[in-house]
Amino acid sequence: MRAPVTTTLQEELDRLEDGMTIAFGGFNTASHPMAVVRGIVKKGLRNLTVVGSAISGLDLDLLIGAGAVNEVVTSSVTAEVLASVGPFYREAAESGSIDIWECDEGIFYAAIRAAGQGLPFNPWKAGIGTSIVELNKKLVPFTCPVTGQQLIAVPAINPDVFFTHVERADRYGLGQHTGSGYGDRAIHRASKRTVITTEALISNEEIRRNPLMTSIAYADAVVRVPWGAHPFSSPGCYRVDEEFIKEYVSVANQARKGDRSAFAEWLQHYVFEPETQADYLETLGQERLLDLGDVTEAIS
Amino acid sequence: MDKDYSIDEMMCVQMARDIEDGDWVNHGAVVPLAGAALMLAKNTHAPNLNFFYLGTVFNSINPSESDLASMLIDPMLAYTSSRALISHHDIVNWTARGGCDIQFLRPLQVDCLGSVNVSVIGDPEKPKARFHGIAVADVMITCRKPVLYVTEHNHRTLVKELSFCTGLGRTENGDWRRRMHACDGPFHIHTPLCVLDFEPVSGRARLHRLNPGVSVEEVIAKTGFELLLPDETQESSPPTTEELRVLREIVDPHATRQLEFKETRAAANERIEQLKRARAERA
Amino acid sequence: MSKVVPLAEAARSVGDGARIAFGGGGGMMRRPMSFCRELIRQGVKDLNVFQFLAGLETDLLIGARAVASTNAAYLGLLEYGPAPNFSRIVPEGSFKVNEYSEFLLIAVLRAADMGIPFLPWKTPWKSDLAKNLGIKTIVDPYGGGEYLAAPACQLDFAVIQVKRADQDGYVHAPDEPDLIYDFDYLIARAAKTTIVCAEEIAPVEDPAKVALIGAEVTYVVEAPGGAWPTGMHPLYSPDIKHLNEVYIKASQSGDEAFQEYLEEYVRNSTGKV
Repeated sequence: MRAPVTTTLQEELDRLEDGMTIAFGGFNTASHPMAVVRGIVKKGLRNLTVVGSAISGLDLDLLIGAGAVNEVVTSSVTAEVLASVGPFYREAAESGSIDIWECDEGIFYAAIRAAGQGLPFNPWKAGIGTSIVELNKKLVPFTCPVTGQQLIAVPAINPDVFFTHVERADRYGLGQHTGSGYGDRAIHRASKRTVITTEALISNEEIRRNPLMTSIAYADAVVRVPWGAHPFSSPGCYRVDEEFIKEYVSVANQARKGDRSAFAEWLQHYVFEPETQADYLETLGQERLLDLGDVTEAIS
Repeated sequence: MDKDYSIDEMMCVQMARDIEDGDWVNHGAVVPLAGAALMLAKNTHAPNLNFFYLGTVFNSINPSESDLASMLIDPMLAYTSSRALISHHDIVNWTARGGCDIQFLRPLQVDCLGSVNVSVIGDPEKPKARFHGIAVADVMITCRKPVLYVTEHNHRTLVKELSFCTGLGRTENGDWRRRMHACDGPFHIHTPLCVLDFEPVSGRARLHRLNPGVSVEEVIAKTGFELLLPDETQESSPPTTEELRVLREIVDPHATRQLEFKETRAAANERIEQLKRARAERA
Repeated sequence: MSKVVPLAEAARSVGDGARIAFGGGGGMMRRPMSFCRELIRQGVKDLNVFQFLAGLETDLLIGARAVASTNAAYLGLLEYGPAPNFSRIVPEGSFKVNEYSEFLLIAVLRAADMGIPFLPWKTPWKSDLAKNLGIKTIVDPYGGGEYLAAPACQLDFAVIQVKRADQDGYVHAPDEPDLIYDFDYLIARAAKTTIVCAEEIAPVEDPAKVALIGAEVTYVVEAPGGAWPTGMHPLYSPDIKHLNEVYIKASQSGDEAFQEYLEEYVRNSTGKV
């Protein structure tokens, strides 16, 4: 008989240690596992190598701002119009206080795919002649044995654990995204352990009705965390909380410019004080949540 | 100067004209000037163009919304109005296989060979400013016609030497690129003053077309690298009445393209905020 | 602009000597048989056939003497037995058998899909299979280990049989996927020209249910029953009676008997199946 893999967020957080390589799914302003991110900040983990999605969001930025990160692997940390570059990411990069594994989306996927296929590296075409290759010493130019063209070798990146947020999952760890699932499938395959947080826990029968929508097959653990991606969107469930993100960007920028007091208050209010996800949601308030839950019409 | 169009409209039209009917375009969602150029082309001379929409939430093909800004405000529209959803790494594979004909890129800096920087300003080890760094390296190698644009034409954007080379431009005699089995490299550089192309043998940027009323001297003075000059300077034909109508009424009625210009960014942002508020109220 | 063309026109695009992959998975499932019959009617020769689990479509083409090489990880009818024409004709040495290991075949297709010239690969290391295929090796610049350099598969054509596609080539994902259903999409993306034979041509309503995008597809052919005598889940089952009582019997008996089979079931049946 198959055993369910449902668990609690705390149990998964308890398994994490300083120095681990942790990957975070989602894309841009959607589906980042923010309840997990806050949990990691609260736990006070240090020296992490964080792997974002090919285009990460402010999930990584918060981790950097909280001092948890040693090295970041992603092509960019952004929230598009709200902040073209994450403020803490920017500050850390500019001061050299964290290592940046320079890459582009293609290079990122080459590394992830190599790990997913159990290979030490994947070749890639782009990057030759750019500073990316000069700065990221892990990328090794070489001559293709088949065609003779110039390529770069991209080493496998094999996260210790991958967290992502989906809209539906069953208790056996079969997760389904609404939409195409970004690059989450690839990162799942590359990681030693995958933990999904989900908006809804549904029956296995329902999952089986739509088998091709299962984007994360057999996660090692599944945790039901409603609003688990807030302030980012969970497609079909709630929109991006732009007010929240703007507030974050504002306090983060103040910290970047030398005054960390507002950020400290922000952390206290949203990360350290709420003991559970329920507390966090109470802090946000019902009205805000009800508004964010409207995902129907756009401007006509 | 007496014109019935603005600089952002002029640039949008010139960029749209780089697209040929039937082209495949990769479009990253939050460059509304490029988005407007793409949809303008689709609604005028290139009705058969196809594009990947790399949205903030969904990656999809050919959303039917003419006004791409509407999908910035409501990303779910990308799901419901698109032809198909597609995973991000499938799009990356597609591009690596050479399926992309055009992608518009706006670098921080571009040099005389069309190499671009979207990553840092200043010393890369200890940069003055760190930016987003996305997408560019692959596109410059595999896209058939990468089209570059800058919304300011000065020594900070068109530079002699890049702080950081994110994406490789043209090369002398196309040599390097041939050895990489790569495409030719950047096609044009669009600026508020003119359009540059690339001299095929040296790979160097060359003045191609001037905006009406702009002098060669002004362009040379404001360009940080040595610009090749053609034997005869051409002038860009201004937007037609039809192009302006389509742009203003159908494709970008809220002028979200102005987000990409320093002078008009704040006002454009405010308009988008208003639209979002109006949408929230209607709900 | 609709991509729908008649079967004959799509088949005409395949020239002699083409490197052509066929879709399909289980022993007698989802093989684009109508298309292969049309290729035979048109007298196409010297095909270099690619498949993962090469089956009835390959066997039919071998029996029709249209094949220059087979390139697959397996050739047979799985639970339905060996491929009869292949068994009979292979001793002649009249076509080349390029045997791949399963993973290696997938590797060369993946490299093509990813737009890279090769994938470093572990299997089948030190096997005669790799040697016979002329696979080169490469040293891992990180760990120093030696790997095969699985070269990207150069495919001229991919032909797949699907349940539903629209006229622009968007293929509807199967509601009940059967064995290696995704192999079809992999070869479709890797090949230069892709031909989709659809049981029905109809719009794909849900954008989340698109398995293959139209841009990857060159031609769409309306081919109801086009997998016969293999099956198309869940529409129709394999015609095992025809397989055992007619096809296998003819294939085992010899060239003359098989020519008669071709006359009756291929040359005289003008695209009906």
